Amino acid sequence: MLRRLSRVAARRVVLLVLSLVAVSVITFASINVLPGDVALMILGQQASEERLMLLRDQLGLNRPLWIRYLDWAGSLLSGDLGQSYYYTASVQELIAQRLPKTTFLALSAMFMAVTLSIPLGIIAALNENQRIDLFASLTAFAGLSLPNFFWGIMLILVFAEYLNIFPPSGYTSPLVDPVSAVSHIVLPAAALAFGLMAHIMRMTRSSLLEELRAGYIQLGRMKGMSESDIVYRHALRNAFLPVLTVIGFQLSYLFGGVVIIEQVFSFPGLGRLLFNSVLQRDVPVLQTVVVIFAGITMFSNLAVDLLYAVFDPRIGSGGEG
Amino acid sequence: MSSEVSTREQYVSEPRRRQLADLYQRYRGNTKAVLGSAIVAVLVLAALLGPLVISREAATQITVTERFMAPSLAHPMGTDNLGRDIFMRVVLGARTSLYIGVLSVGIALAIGVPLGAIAGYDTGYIDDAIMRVMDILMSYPPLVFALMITAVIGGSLTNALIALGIVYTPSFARVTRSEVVSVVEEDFVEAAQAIGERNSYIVFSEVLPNALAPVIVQATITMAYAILTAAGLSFLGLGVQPPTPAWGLMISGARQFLVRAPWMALFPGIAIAITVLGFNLFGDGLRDVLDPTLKND
Repeated sequence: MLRRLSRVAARRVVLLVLSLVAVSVITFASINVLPGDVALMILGQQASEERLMLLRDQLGLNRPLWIRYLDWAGSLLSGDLGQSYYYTASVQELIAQRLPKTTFLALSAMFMAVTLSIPLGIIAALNENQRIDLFASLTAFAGLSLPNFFWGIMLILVFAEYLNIFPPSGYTSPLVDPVSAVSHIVLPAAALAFGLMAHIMRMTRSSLLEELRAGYIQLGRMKGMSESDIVYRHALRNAFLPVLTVIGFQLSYLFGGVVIIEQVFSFPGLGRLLFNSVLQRDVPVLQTVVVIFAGITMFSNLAVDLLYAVFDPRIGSGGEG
Repeated sequence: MSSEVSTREQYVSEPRRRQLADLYQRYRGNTKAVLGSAIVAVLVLAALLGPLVISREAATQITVTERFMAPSLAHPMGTDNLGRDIFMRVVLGARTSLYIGVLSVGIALAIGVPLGAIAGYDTGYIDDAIMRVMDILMSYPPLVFALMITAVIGGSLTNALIALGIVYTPSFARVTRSEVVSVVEEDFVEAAQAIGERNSYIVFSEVLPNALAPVIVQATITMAYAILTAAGLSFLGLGVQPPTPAWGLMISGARQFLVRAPWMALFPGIAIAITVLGFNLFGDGLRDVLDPTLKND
């Protein structure tokens, strides 16, 4: 069992590394091959040809593409990512400052979404087709349909402007001042969580319903097990795997959402860095942050798949997890 | 000879008619599908008729004396910071949203479906190559990918929908592939192979038409995502550019005046939500209607 698992894991990790290489190639190619002159974008349309040439030279844009790629890929591996075009800081400093903040935001949002949507999904499943189930399902559709930035703005309007309970923007480190950190993170995390909740809740509901109709549950009932034992100790445990997968898939949505929500709440994270690098054509920052976002999604998908393999005894001999 | 042909036609069309009647029956009985398609129909009407009823001048005209007016009979959704009528702009925004949704999903369909069909039929190294590329493309969060593309080719409506079209391609390739893989097992495919039909004919004329139902569902639901992501891009200033009336852009412009004129954000926000809800409900209902064997979740 363990040997099989480690073989699956090893194969998947190799695949992950290859995929990361592919992502770096695609990202680099998209940013550097597509029509569009970085020097022109930085200096503006009025720039003279000499200044453009000089800047291209400084940025190393005159070298062959594949050398530039290898240069960048090498720097990704060594961790020395060079200077940002826009900030007076190195790319790795910028990322080191911002990655923990975005992680804190993303984890808070996921925590909020999971703690609200799983109980809601269970309640909905246990009251199938009753009023509360309908209500939960409507909430889920609302969460799917409201754009997170609109939801974020409404949260600011109500909780920051009208009620004055939470600050409308900013960030405090949880290590410095936990209370202030929580009050700053609540609104942006809630704005992200609402969209996440819908899928998790619906999957919890449908997965639990499916388990409750399964043969072994009927058997448990016949043997006189208590309903709460059946639901919480057996059905829920088996129903959890599909939910886990959905949570994994949601991360890609989450990191897209982070870019917008950090903008709405002036949150100094990686998403804002990405957005500014787009506006400023800060190519070294842009390509690295894009690879990080794609890499995080890949890592979490791998983690979900491995967890799946650990928890699900049915997945096995096939090797394809 | 001719009698043989006509009996064959009857043989084919009778079950087909019954099938359609069956579909309609299931559609009528599905609240989500009915509600969703009703919302989508209203949107399409707004997108088609809106520009005929409301002139672009009226919707972009700046009237300083009518700034920040709260919703009233004259302006059902109020006016914005330039005195423009928000209701008119919301109606015109429907066209922009649908335009982005239809075209970006169209691009994704046009690339993703053939790739998925080939991958599903081949199951060799071509399959592997296509699907690995799709996996890699899928690891980009859609908005991040779109941002990357607009960083290079500039933020505009056309660029946004091209970027979204590429991002959503893998989901169609996946759905098509998995459906084609199961259809290929059917007898009629084996029959076609036995009489020596060309592979391309089998894939695109025999297999694909029988694998379309989940693709249609996926297209409807992707419309919802595409409209939502495009609104986000516009909100960030990298999608639709002013003065084109677009909901994401209107919300972005409303941020400065949030306390003074909350309706400036409220109504475009509701418009996006209803649109996305419509496509989500329609897609979800359609899934039940097209595939009654699936459980209703």
